[in-house]
Amino acid sequence: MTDITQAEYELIRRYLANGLTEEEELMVTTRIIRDPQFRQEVEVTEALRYGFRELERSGKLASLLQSRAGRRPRVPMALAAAVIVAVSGGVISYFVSYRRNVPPPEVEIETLRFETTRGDARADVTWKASGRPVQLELVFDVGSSPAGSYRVILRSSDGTQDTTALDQVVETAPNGEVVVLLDGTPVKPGYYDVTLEPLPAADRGAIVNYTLQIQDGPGE
Amino acid sequence: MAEMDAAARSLNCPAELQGLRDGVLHVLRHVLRDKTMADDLCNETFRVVLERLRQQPLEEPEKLAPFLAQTARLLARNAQRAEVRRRTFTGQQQAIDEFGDPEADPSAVSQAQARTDAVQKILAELPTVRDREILVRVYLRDEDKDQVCRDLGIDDAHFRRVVFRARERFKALLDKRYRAADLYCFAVSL
Repeated sequence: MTDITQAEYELIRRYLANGLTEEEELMVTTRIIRDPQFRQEVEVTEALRYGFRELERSGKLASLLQSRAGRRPRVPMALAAAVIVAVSGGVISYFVSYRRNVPPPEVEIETLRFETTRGDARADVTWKASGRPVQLELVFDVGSSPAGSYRVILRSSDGTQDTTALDQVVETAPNGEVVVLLDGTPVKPGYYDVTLEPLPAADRGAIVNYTLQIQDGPGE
Repeated sequence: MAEMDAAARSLNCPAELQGLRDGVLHVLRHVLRDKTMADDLCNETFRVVLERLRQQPLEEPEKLAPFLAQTARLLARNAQRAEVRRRTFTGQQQAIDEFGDPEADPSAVSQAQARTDAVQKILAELPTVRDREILVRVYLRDEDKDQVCRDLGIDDAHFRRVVFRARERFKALLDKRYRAADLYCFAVSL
């Protein structure tokens, strides 16, 4: 038994789509016969593909591909916990919790995703305040080998704020992401450095840094 | 027994034989999309291979798996050709093929429903529409991975992460509801 590589996953996908050359097909079928782990990966992929086709056929796929805007925000039960910090102008008072409050239905949730794919812009993510009550679901990509939990620190990086907006330990979600739900009162516009320190403390290289820009809402 | 080569000996070991048989059956079902025919041809594959080994042992025992694979594929293709010849062309073949009652096998219906539910749950758990779109484009539409990455402005690492996590979740969901041994039946009952 051997670990399946990314190239092999791709080979499996093409095998199931009947997109292999003769030579590749013999290689894959040989592996299916010889290696139970590889065979199981083929079976999982096959079942997944079939499931997608069934979803499409039953008409359930389209709704899953629609934006969450306007839908009741889904905070998975496993994640129904996070940090709550408030956002809207004035003094920052953040309340953070992981694994608990589902927000009241009238509060809108906006998801901000921080991913390792970096652009040239100063901020990784820019969010415009709308003036409405809102909770921000911050979803952090912490790489493919995440630690069990992270200390998440959010602090102003442009000198206009003198407080650390957030400093909280957050458990890594089962899907390998770190999710923080911010709720509360005003976060002033400006740039914020977001630092995620793996726990237990690892080498400094494992620390993940992002930049968040908050822009003024009214008049946007 | 002493004169048997290593390849033939593995066919005499029940555990090894079962593993090889599962693999051959999988290959045949993938090609034929017909369980009954695949079962028949699986037996035929082993018969052909055993006879060949009795006459002429393999010089390299590790060639047994490719030999089985090649034999199974050839038999499957011959069977497909025979099936095409056998069919009477009435111009109504599609209607005839669709005549079978898809609800006739309750366990197949139940498994299909479980698969659909599992995939739906995974998709719903993905945090962004873009992650869902990645999986749909790769697993349903068979789109090229590089093209998907370009279109969505994501890098290879992000792509791998989304696909890997989805697969892991899917496996976990299936494991919750089914014994590992059932996954095989689950996957090949297409």
